[in-house]
Amino acid sequence: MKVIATLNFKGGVGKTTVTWLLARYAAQKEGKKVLVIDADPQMSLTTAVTIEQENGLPDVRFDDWQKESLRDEKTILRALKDYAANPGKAVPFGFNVDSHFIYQRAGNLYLLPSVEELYWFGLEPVDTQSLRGFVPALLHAIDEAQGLPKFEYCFVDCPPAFNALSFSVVCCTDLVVIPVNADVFASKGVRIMLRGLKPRVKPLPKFCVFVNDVRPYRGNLPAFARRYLDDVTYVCQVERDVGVQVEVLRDFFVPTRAGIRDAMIHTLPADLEEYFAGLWKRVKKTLG
Amino acid sequence: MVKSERSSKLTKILKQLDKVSEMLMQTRQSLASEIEATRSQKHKPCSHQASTFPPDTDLREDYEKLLRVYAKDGPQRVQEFVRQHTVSHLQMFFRANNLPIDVKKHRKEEMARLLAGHLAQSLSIRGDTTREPGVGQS
Repeated sequence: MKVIATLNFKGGVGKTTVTWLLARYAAQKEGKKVLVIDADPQMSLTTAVTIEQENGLPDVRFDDWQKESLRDEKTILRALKDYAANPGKAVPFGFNVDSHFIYQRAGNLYLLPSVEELYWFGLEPVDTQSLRGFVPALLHAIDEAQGLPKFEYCFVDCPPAFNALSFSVVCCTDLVVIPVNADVFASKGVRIMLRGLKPRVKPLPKFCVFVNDVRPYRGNLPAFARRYLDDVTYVCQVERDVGVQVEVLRDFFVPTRAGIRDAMIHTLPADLEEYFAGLWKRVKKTLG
Repeated sequence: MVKSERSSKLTKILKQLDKVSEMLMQTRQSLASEIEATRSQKHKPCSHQASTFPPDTDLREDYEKLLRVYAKDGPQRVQEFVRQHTVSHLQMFFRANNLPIDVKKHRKEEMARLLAGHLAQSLSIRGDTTREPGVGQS
């Protein structure tokens, strides 16, 4: 299973939208078996799925599923707590990983939702280093689970704040997708992230940076956005020179579209599909 | 008598029409060749520009140099840079470096201020990775 995490230390760059639409493209258009993990306590992705409409109706099935999942305490938070208590155990989770833990959204597309209490997990005294193995153990348990498909791709929506869970995700990720907006804050986030992860995560995953959510000028990136991309490219080249596998997609961007937020709760519009097809193609190429 | 007078008048008019027609034809031909000459001129690189302005790679290199100077000495040197170069040169410099500064809208003083703003952002994004020329350019 290839793990693809979406990350940028700057919030609001479109991580959740990119994760969900890319995962949906891979599952629904490419026929891949896809698992999406919402690792963000803000629960944006989980909320989007809750209110997402299929055939014009909200997905009431998810509400019922989630009630059972919460009642049985089969949540990502429980898994995290169990692992924190038994980090070295071969079977660290005190519950069966099954379809009450992973929700089948549609066809090949599955979701491990987030829970609100994940916010407060950060306040508990946890050893970040000992949680490093949490996501690999979780993915192993999912891979071995009865009644769940053998997933080909796992997409993870990470929170902007780098916490123990994000750390564990990055430690087992094949590719980190970094969406940047055409502004100084999101662009600066790329250097901070690459610089911060380099001494902490070994082996370092591959990185793929692209501009997200920019209004095109005559179909191309406007000059001001290219200026930011030039500086991000510079930063990435400096890191490449010391062995970091980071690629900047200079020939690609996802444009601002009035309906992109609606796309989270309806179906992927045809003109957006073209961009996510392009992103998926490049992601696969970078993954190798 | 009247008939022959009228006939010669008509012949005269016809000759005049022939002349006008010939003149129109000549004018049309010279206009066509003029248009062709203008078109081919447009496609040729401007010899003045080609000789005066450095290539984009040099202009981008100038941005890197200016960035290092700005990081060391501050916005004063940016004002000097803008003052020292012609508006045409600055226009090429801004275009080559994707700097959205319109030379037709701003005076040099304002251009220097906007350029310093962009340099400050570049420094913030790059942090301490700003380094020697030729490095970090793809």
